[in-house]
This record gives sequence, structure tokens and C-alpha cells, in this order.
Amino acid sequence: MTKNFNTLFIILALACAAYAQITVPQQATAGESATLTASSGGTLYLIGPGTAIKRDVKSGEVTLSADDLAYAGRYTAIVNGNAQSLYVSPAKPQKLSFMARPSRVPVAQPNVISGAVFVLDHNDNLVTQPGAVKFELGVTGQAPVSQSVPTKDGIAYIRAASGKREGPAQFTASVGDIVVRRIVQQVASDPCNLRMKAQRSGNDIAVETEPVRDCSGNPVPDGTIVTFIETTNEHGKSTVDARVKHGIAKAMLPAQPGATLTVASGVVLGNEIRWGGQ
Amino acid sequence: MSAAKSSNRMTFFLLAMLFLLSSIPAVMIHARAWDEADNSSRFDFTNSSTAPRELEDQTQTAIKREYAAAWQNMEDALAQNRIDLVDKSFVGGERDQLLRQIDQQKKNGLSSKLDDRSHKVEFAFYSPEGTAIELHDTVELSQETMDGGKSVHSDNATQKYVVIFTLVGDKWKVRTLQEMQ
Repeated sequence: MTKNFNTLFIILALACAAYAQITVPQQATAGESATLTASSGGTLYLIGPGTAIKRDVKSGEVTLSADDLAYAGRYTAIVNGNAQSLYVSPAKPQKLSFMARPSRVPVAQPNVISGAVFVLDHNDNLVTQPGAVKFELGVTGQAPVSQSVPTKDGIAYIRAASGKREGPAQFTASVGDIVVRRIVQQVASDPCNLRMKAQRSGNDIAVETEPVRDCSGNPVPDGTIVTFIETTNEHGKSTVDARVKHGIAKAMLPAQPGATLTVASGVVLGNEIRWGGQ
Repeated sequence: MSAAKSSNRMTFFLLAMLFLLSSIPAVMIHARAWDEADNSSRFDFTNSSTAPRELEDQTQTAIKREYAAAWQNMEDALAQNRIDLVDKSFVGGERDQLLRQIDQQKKNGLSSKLDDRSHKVEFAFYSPEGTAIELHDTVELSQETMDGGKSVHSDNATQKYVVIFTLVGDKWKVRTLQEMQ
């Protein structure tokens, strides 16, 4: 009789274990605790991204800590061979990984500045829920240019024109109150409206440009090459390369009556002077 | 006569050894090529155009190779609880995540067997400055959790992943390998 009772008990226990139920929450968020329900006690396994937990649990509610569910993805909870899966979503944005290029750029150039942002939560999960990143670009003393870009699968990117004023431009990306800044040094672009004057200096001609500026009025950096060209029918063409110093380029050319003097920098041509020997 | 016979046998033996030795590298190369072909044949990459930057052929080839290697390294690392394999393919948050999982597996006497049977991979994003790439992958995979030598659970699933590769030195490594709902 006792033997039969023991056998029945074992069969019932096995049947209970076989029908043990585990209920997982419909929704869970990475880095937040969650509760699952086990209809019988036993060993709980929780397998998921960054997680491989094994612990004994009693029947009833089982709390999974914020650390147990740190990472977004699919988790499988197993109790007594009964398994249920749950998807843990990324949490709210907490970090921005902002890549901005280049660090130095000429002013007033279209689509030369690029920025890409990965939106992450506090555990570095990519926040794939739709959102928006606000990009701003501007130099001190000027209203920044601003654009809101929707994220797609955790990424937002922008291509922007450089501003008209030289100087360190603040390039920022923000989501809510999370702001990340990068500095893009805007430098003067190619010279524009290049003009020179010439005067006799002994047996030579002293040529000198007016302050060399780009088309936005920014002085070009010192060291920019300016080429002075002297052309005569008798001697042909001779050139002198001079570097801009304190905004101005200077050179000496041999004084030859009837010479044509021109000035150029890069692809920009300046004014022309006919040297009459004065 | 006997000495000549012995000499012939020795010559034959030496030639046979020489032939065997010379064929070993060829066999090894063949085996490796077969392994690589087998490893990457599960990966079906869609050659769609990436935005905002077009993917260079060389970069595309490197990503295909490194992605297949990353899955292999992850599977081996989780099956054998080997942290040394993680650094070969992973960086940043994904590296930390895998190291934590292996650490917990070791403490609890667990291991995970992953078998990625097929991948449908799409290039989704290539950053303007060329240092980050996002892929979308739909993977047919089976997973088995082992406690000691005993299987505690196994299942098959079709799982979507978002993958971010980042350029580390001259090598592309996985920074994010995140399951999507």
C-alpha cells in the first residue's frame, strides 16, 4: 500500500513538473527589472544577450533584476524544462555616438561637413525605436543652422554646408537634453577678387596684392601661394610664387618696358597691369 | 644483389616520403579553402546601394569575410567559454556583452551552442566618413543551452539582427549585434 502510494506520489510530482508553467511579461525594457511567474519551483535558467543565469526559484513570482536584463534582445527563461521567450526592448536614449568630419573645412562649401549619430541607451543598446536627432552648426556670434533628422534603426546622419564665417564652428547633435559637441574649424576658402598694384623699385617692379580674401570676405590663411606673372614679347613669361604674409603677397619682378603683369592664386585670376616703364 | 634491392627500397621509401610531405601544404590549403567557402556560403548578401556613401568593393569583401568570422568566433566562444575569441571580432558594447555572458556561463557551469544555418544580409548604412557600417540580417539559427554536458533547452528561430561594424585600426569589428523584435 505504502509502495503504491509512493509510486503515485512520484508520478504526480513528475506530472506536475511536466505541466509546470512559466509566464513571462509581454513587454520588458533593457536595464529595468521584470517579473515572471513559475507555477512550480525548480531551477531557473535565463539565457539572453550578455546573460546566462542559473538559480533556484520557488513557485510564484520571480523577479529578474535590471542587471539580469541589461541588454536588448531575445531572452529565454527555462524552469523545469518549460521555456518561454521574451523580447527586451532598448531603453530610452542616454548616449550619442557622434562622428563628425572633417575637423577643418573651407567656408561656404556645400555638403562638406558630415555627421552621423548612433543613438544608444545607458547599456549601449542601439535605440531602434524611431526618434529624431537635432543637428546644429554655427560659429560664435552667429545664429546656428539647425536641422532635425529622423533616426532609422538607431542612426541619423546629415551632410551640411560650411558656414560663411571662418573660425571654430560648434557642430552639435542632440536628443532631448543629451548634447554632444564637436568642433569643426572653418577656414577661409580660395582667394576671390584678387587685386595687385605695381611700382618701380630701382631696376625692378615691386608688386603687391591688396589684402587677399575669399568670396565671403575672410582673409585667406598666411602661407597661401600667390603667383605673379610677367610676360613680354622679348623675354617670354617669368613667374614668381609668393606666400601670403599678414594677408598680403609681395614680389619683385624685373622692370621690362611693355611687360604685362598678372596675378593668380589657385584657379583665381586677378587684375592685369601693362607696365609702361613708369 | 641484396644491397641493390635494399637501396632501391630505400630510394622508393624516400620518394614516397617526399611526395607525402610535398602534398601536405596543398591538402591544408585545399581544406582551408573548403572551410572558408563552407563558412561564407551560409551568408546571402544583398548588393543594394548603401547610403549615404557608396560601399567600395574592397570594403564589401572585408565586411563579408569579417561578418562570417564574427559568427564563427561568437559560436566557438560561447560553446567553449573562451574569452580569447571575443577580441578577434568584437569591440565596444558587444565585446563587453559577450564577455559578461561567458563569465556568467563559466560561473554557472553552462555553455551555449549556436548554429547559424543561413543569413540574409542587407547593407543598410555606410557612414559618410567611412568608419561605420550597419547591416540588417535575418538569421535561421538553432540554440541549445547546456548545463554541464546536459541539454536544458533547445529551439529553432528566425531572428532579425541589426549589426554595426566599426573600423578598428585596419580591421572591421562588430560593435553591435542586436536582436530585433
